[in-house]
Amino acid sequence: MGDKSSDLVQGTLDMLVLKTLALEPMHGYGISVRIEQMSKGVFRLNAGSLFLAIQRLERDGLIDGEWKPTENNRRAKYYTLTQKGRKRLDNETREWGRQAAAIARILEA
Amino acid sequence: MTRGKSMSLLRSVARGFRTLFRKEQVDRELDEELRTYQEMASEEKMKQGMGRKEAARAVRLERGHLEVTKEVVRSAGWESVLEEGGRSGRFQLEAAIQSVHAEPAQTGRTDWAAIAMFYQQLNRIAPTLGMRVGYAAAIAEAEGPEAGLAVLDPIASDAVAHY
Repeated sequence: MGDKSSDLVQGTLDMLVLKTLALEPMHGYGISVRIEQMSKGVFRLNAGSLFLAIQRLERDGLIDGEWKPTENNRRAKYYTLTQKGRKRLDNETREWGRQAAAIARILEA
Repeated sequence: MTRGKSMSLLRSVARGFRTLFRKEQVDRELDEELRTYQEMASEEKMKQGMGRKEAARAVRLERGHLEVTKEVVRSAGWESVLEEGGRSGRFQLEAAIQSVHAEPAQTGRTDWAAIAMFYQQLNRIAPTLGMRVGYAAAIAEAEGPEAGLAVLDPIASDAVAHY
């Protein structure tokens, strides 16, 4: 991860990748562009962090990779959210909301 | 170790690993995936008016060097297999030992140094008395009986009292 996004809380990158893939199947570059766009440029992913997260998620059965042709007639590995991945994303999103609210309450005290 | 011997050890180890993890195919796919990633990122830069070289340099700076990325991802995958410490790591290593044991059918000899190396990993993630004795036997075959006995020495005698 680049300097800008080194503050990403441990484990949140996995959640962001899952969220991105919940919208539609995407290849590695597509995932990083989408995360950068959705964060309005706050997060810029370095390839190492991104592909480590992808590897981890695929190993845990949360995403599935499949080689397919791109619009430009290239071959790229497209990732899809699995059933297990969708469940994990739902849980993590809920948990994140709970924790973020709790942290906000503490900071505002 | 002579050059010939260490090369043959390397080959055996490589063969064992391949059997286990289809390592080559995984590496090839990772290569292609990362190359495509970099090309896509470069093309985006070129659309913004950069030349090919300049685009490649900008992508390297922003997203990391391709070879470094490859190494980072590859080594993490490999360590996670060895260090997960759970059953699959153990069984995969046991399978590796079997695959080297089964090799004399093709080559007429057993590569004990390779077997010792797998036992060493196995001892690290699932240390049992049996593993340690297996490791000692492999070391004895590879490096001589003295070396094998040295592996057994640190075992406390009360640990084996009930055997």
